[in-house]
Amino acid sequence: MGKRVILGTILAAATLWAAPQTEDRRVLIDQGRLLEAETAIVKTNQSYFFVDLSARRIELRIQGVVLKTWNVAEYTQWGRPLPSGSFKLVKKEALRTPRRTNITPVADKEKQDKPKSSDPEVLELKDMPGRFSFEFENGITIRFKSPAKKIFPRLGYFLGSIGRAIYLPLKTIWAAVRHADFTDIQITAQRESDAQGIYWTAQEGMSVLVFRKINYRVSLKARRRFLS
Amino acid sequence: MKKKTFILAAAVVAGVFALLELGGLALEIFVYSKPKVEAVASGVREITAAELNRRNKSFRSRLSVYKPFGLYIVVDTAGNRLYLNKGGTVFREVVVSCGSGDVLDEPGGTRSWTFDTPRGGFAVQAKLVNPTWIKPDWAFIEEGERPPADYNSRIDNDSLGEYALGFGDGFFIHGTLYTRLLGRNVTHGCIRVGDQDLKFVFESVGIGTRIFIY
Repeated sequence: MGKRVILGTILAAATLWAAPQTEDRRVLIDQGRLLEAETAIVKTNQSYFFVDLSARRIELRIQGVVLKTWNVAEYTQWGRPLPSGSFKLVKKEALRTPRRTNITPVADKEKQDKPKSSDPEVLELKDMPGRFSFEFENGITIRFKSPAKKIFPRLGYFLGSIGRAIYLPLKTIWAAVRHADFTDIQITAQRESDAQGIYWTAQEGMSVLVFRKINYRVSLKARRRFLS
Repeated sequence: MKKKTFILAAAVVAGVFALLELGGLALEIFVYSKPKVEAVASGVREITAAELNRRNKSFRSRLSVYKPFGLYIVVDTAGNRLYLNKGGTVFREVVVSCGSGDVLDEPGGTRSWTFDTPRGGFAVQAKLVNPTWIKPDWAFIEEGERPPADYNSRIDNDSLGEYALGFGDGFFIHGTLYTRLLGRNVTHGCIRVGDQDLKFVFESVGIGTRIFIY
């Protein structure tokens, strides 16, 4: 009886010790992967996003220097958990994309005749959408939204949420049945200007590094399939 | 009768909704919780946490080589701000004007210009006192004029202010006559700074000082 108790205690202690060790290793592997990707990006002089979903923070970096930080109010996810790694932003989409103004060349004489507008027609932060999405490779989508104050945008957001509450589970089922890659993350920014700032800064083709602690639950079946 | 039908319809909708949510969630738990496991050849020794730590430390030190030491400039094109940084601490914030994002097409021609401030990592390449602007073609086309063949007609001694910092491809951090537009996105891609701030920025930085624009 005594031996059994000792053996049980040893086994329990070993299990308790091993679990965080595996978790730590996983985090270290992910961190290493991200650092390796970042080391490659910093050589290019291009800015990139570092999205830390666990800390609810998005950073804009360039050559390892943090230029701007935005806090994430909350995030939800459907589909396959987004693993830590480096992803290429393929497309940024918005319902209301900001439009650039085309300058019409005007001769000096005509200019003098026209009354001067005090507000120049230019593209500014306030023209950026507060709700948009980033498309990545492998069926990964990150949607951004921000709290709306006015009644009509709020109503639109509410209807959109209902639509997504139907569409996303269906898409999850469809992707699961077809074994297709599908990840949909919705990030809510703390302020509208934060979301607009992210849209302003993001450029198609730029790299996005995602760090996320995931509880990996690898089933025996999956292990067998992987080992075979 | 109508009330019953309404309740029934509402119940059906709620049921379908709940089924979808539960179905999706169940699939997420049972199917997607299995991660894509990377292939590792059998018999290969697992890397220990200590080794991983060492590897990550080596990556961090490689990354730190690229980080600027000393003074550097950060420009926020959305907020129209320029920050002078030293060791990661901002010691001067300046209101500036950045690119308007407007587009100019050459009438009857094929050329087109987009007036954005370039983004990314740059360095101060030239420091100029009382700079002269050699007006490019778009400056004439925008005014409805034909670009002159004569070089002297392109010289403008007033527009750039007292100082200019060149950071490549014809882009400058320079002074402005339009101080009331500081804080707005109104330029053709250059970064306009007010006179007093410009003097301070100009005297603080040297050739090779890093500029990060976002």
